[in-house]
Amino acid sequence: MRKTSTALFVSLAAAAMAFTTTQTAVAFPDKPVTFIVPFGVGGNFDVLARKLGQRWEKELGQPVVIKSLPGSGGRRGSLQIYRAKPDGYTIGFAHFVPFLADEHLMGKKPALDLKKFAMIYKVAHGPNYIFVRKDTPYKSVHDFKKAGRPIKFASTGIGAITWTEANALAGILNFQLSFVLGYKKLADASVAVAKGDAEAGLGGVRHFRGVKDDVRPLMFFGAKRDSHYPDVPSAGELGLKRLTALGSPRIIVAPPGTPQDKVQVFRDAIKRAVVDPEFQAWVKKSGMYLKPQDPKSTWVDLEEQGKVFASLAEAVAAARKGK
Amino acid sequence: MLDSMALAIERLADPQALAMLLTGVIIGTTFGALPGLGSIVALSVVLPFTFGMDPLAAMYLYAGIMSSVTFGGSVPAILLNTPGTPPNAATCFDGYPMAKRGEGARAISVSATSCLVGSIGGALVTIALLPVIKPIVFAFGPPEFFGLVVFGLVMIAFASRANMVKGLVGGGVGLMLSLVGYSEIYDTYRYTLGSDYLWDGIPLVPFVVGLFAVSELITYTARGGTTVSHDVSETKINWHGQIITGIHDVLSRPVQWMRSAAIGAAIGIIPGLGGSVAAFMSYFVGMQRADDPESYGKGNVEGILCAETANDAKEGGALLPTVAFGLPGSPDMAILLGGFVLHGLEPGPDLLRNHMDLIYALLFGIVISQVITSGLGLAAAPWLARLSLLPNRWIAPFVLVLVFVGTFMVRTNILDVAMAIAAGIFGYLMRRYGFPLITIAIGYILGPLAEKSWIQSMQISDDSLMIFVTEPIALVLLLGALATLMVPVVLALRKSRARGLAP
Repeated sequence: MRKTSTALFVSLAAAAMAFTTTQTAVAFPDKPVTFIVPFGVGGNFDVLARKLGQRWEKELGQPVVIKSLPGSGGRRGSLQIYRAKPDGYTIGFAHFVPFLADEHLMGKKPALDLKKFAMIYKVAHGPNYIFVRKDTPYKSVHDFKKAGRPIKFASTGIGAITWTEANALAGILNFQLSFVLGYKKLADASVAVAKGDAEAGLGGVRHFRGVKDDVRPLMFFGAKRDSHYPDVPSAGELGLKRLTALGSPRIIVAPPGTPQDKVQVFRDAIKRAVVDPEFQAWVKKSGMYLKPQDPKSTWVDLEEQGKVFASLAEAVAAARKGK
Repeated sequence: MLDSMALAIERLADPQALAMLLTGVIIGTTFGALPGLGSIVALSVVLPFTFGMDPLAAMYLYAGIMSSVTFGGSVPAILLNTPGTPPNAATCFDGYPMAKRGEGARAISVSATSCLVGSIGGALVTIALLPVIKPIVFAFGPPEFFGLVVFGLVMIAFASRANMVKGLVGGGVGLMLSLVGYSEIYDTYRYTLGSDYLWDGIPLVPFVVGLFAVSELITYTARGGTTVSHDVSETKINWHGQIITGIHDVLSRPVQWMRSAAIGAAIGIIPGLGGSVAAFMSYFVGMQRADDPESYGKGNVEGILCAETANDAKEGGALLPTVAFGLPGSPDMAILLGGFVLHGLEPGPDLLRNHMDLIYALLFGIVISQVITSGLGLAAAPWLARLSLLPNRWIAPFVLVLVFVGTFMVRTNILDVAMAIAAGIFGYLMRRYGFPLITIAIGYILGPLAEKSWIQSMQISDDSLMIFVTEPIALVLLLGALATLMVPVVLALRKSRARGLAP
């Protein structure tokens, strides 16, 4: 009798233990998750992460703590994610573009190996506009070549997305360009265009909304036209398909080596979060673009972006030497 | 315009609005008073809590924080010679000598009252300049910024009234320190010693707080005693009476505070200059205009008045480019901008056309929360001022811990604490050899702007120096800088001639 009860107890205990272990496996995450944003509080990436985090928290059942680590054009925060413990409790937006540009465009060794990131999901992609001051004679991007002199662009810095986009455009359309660099934000660069320090600039609707009375968009870098400016032609329809590979993807990643099942938990939660109609309405109004995309095709796109960079490397190097 | 103002006032009468302002004030004053922590940290901390709130309530919370931080930061500047936030550094010059004389409560009262008049003045100037915001922002481009920075650096070296050469050397050292880090313009890392810690240069908060606070604490502990000098009798100090004196000090100087408020608001409007410049510019203009410039830096109430009035007036001004162009003039405005976006408001001409009531509500909110801050400040001043009677050896470790926690909190990076210590030792040595710390700090703060505006001017003009001649504002500023540099030479010449003429 006594023996049976012990056996029963042991088997019960074992069952209970088995139950709790499966429970913990299912209940990931069981504590708050840190979400690193490589740009400042209040920036484009930050507000997107916060707005998304609100919905995401409900799906995950745990708070998502947004931690802003700005610096070095998004490199610092991305590096922080790269170096974090791969236990599934630190994830974030990695900013891929500067590292891609370092490697393929500038011929420098990037500070991290992008391919090692455990990619969770791509959320958004922000194609830029190219715009000019209202009183300039340019009616289309093809007019730049006719100017017969370098077109002056305002941008944040060498290697920045807007800088590569301008260079790519100049390379394909075969016009000369020069830069006024060092603006802290694209909004500052837009004001510089509006006040006449430069002739042309690039940026999203959000960036030049403040001076929209003084500038005129010429082209949208997407494959199709954008609803904010339906009269402005897209790169796709102007036959500049290569340019649509550029721009800034908003990709959520986990540190290299994070277990796949944990990555999947996040991916499922975020897939459910991005379809929220209220969130989608907010994104549209704020001039951002949702582009949910699975890791597989995102990696393909990134490779394509790297190739576009590589094809521009020579022209860029020549342009920098000439300057 | 009056409609939107009426709507804004109506919204402020809501008890929830007042509760939000009060909460903001309490958070802001606390974060301001702790060295290292400032409005950036305070705003970042509250931002996630504002999600569920009505946008306007969130704006009031932000307004409460932004307007109260500067007063909070002035308290340790006066009592401990340790600026709570970088823009309060100018308040130390006269605030601390007053505390030494046993007039700590009077100095805090001057600061509280100045913040209030500054806030009101700033709001008035801002409302008046609203229609012409575009020409003002468009008038300031890279050549004008370069002129401003050069003029500012020379003025500060001149006004720090230590040896002018040492002042300029300090400015140069600061400028050189500011070059460390990644340069977007050249796409290179400079002097990072192979470490990614220095990618973004020497971090601002640990450097400035370390330079002033840690070096002061070293001096402090070495000296011993209390803040109030020994020759002042404790029993003779009438803390409560000093409050009235302090209020009277400010109100009896309308010219000074109107001028300081105008300077503060104007500098706030120009994006990219920031709070430290507003306070120092106002302080130095005040000194130039004073009948007795010699008394500045020795505990003249006008020094605190000029610095703190401008400090608070700039908040109203800085709001303008933020809402009109989505162009934040300072890091805390960048966070406010994020708050706008999160609540579905997009800054830009549309916001000015359709949501003027919101902007008035924010401006009035800033003023009302300043009334609350100053009221609380005046009430607390007699007790706060008693800190200056505590022995230094008790205060120093406490402040040092606060400094370390503050610098650590900003980015939660322990190396920032090491940076604060290193900056403190560096500051102590520079101080011992008579280099004014303030020119080092200003050189360091303005250095990136100096470099950037120079290169951008060259890029705009295709490498022609004529851009500094053809742009009238830049030309005037550069000529002003040259004239200031000549002053000591002229004075010396005149002195030697006078000596020569004497029999």
